Amino acid sequence: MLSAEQYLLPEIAQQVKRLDLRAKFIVEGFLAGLHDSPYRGFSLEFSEHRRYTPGDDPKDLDWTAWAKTDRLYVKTYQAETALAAYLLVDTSRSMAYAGPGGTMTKLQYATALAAALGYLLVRQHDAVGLGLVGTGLSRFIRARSGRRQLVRILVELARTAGAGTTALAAGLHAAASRIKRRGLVILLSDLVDEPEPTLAALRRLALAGHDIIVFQILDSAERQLDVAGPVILEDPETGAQVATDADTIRADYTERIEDFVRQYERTVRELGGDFVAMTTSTPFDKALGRFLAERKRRF
Amino acid sequence: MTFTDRTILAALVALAIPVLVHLWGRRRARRMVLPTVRFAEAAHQASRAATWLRRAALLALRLAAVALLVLALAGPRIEGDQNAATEGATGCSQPVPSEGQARLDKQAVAPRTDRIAAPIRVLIVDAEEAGEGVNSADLVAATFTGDTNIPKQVTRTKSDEIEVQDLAAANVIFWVGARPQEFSPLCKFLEDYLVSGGRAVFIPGSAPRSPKREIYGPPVTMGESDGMTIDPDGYTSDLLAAFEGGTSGDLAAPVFRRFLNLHAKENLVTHRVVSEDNGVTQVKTLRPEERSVVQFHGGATAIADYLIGRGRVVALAFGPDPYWGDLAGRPEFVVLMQSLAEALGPKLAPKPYLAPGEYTGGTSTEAEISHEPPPVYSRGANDSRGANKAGTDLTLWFILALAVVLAAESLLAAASAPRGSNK
Repeated sequence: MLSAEQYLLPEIAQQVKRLDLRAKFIVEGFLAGLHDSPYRGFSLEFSEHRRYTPGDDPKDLDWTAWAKTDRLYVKTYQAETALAAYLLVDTSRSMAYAGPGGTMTKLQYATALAAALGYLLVRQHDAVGLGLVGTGLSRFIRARSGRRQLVRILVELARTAGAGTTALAAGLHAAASRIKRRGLVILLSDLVDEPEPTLAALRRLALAGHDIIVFQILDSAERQLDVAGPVILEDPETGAQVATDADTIRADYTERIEDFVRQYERTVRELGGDFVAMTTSTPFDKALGRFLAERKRRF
Repeated sequence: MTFTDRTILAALVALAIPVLVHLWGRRRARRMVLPTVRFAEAAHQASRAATWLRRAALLALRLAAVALLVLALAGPRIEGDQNAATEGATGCSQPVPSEGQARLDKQAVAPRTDRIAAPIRVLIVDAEEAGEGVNSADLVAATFTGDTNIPKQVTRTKSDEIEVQDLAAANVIFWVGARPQEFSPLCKFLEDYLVSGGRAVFIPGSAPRSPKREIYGPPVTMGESDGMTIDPDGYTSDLLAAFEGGTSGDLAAPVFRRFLNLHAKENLVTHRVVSEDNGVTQVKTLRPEERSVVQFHGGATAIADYLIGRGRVVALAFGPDPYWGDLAGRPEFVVLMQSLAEALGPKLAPKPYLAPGEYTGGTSTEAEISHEPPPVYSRGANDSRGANKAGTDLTLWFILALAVVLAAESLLAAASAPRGSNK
């Protein structure tokens, strides 16, 4: 029997076929691990006291009020509904990549994470929207709260398939023009595109008052060029090929990848956002924790 | 450099294996989809030269490894013997003869040891005792029989083996048995040796047989009437008499001449030889300086004496004993050597810098012969090749080189091995 936390591991979560269940298991696994974490009570704000009635959870009793008044009161909380979050998921063809031995494509990882984030947001009574931005803005769902909204988002995420040439900047610009209300913009992408236009689009979102979290999702094979000897590397989007010796170029390649990641991270942080570099083998709680930290910082 | 077993060199075709692996490795490059290929392309452009060098170095090291392995198995050697011998004969250096030493080729004697039941040194002692009264102190004679493949001769390390430097130092070379192969290194050595003033006696491996016997006529009687049974006293006296008499005539069987390949065509003279016994006419081309010193009954030359360059050769048209292999091990052989060595005179000091093949014919007169003393030779003193006189086995060096190459190949492979990859 798997414990809830185990669903935070991508290879375990991948075994759950239904995206809604996968998102649920991920979030529950994440929350189960939060008992001793600083994120406890993250989503609810104290609202008022009311008289205790049988059936209330005894842990909500306010013992201080009882000591003062000799009456039992329970604390009630008001869900924070001021947040509107948009999940922008890159669905370009490069996201449909899984390295040798990989269990998940980048897109599968991104959709699972987006679903989990959506589940978490809805659970907190936040409004959540969705944008598929890989090749322009192919789909956009305005932010709303409620489980029906979550179902819409999950259905849309379950339909996604990596296709088309990356045009991330165009998608981000289009989303920026569609998002009217200031909120939290969460981008899930490999960012394998020209950095300058993409960063310009992110800058536009930041200037519009949005808080930005960028989850850059790469495969381990991309980060480390996890192949040996003579190899013909092919770009899945353009079909361009490079015949080379992986052993010879590995050091230079990884250096370039790291520079690429650092460039995004530096710029996003300059914009006041958060940047999280991940691989498809990174447990989901890293992303969820960063999200919650960002949300807490915001409120 | 020579090799003990040249047939192994055929395995050098295995050099094709690294080449095929190299080409196959290029063809069987894995295909891999990689969204970040633009970073790989940039890295590839930056390291293209390094990639080429690495592949070329790997190929070169693998080729070297295969070549060194094959060459090591073939038994590489440096022929210090041959160098010393050739140089001695051509005047570049002159080995000092070992006085009073008669060296017998073990190959000639070994087959007879079962009957004689004595090692070679005992045979030599016996031979010297049989030649009682003969002063052998100034005799240096070497026989060289059987297999004339130089590498095999030279690479033998047994102490009683004839070595090429011994031949170069010999006052007289008694060549018994098989002829040197034409154009072979040994034939070249003999040519140089004779042209530069050496002395040699060529003795065929067997007595004349049909049809040669018909051509030559019955052999001259020496002691017993039939065949060439050796009578030491009679033989040597007759032989000496023959030398002193200096009879003239045709050389019926220039057994070795054509194999020495020394003659310029313009110096050849055609002689017509008619055998009276059977009327067979033989046409021979002879050099004018050749002379027949012993003849068969029919007039055919049994022993010829002729000059080659500044050297002198006595060639026997017959084998003195049907069991010729026994000759070098028999006591009377020393007597024969002594007699012939004295008759041929001392070996001349070689002309300096006389190149092999320089001689093109003609007769060397005594006035032309230089009697300058030969240069003093001291092994290892002024000849850096002294250490190589016995020939140097290079197998160990090749194996060491192979180990170095394999280590370099491993280092190169390790330096470019994938880090943190188990693919």
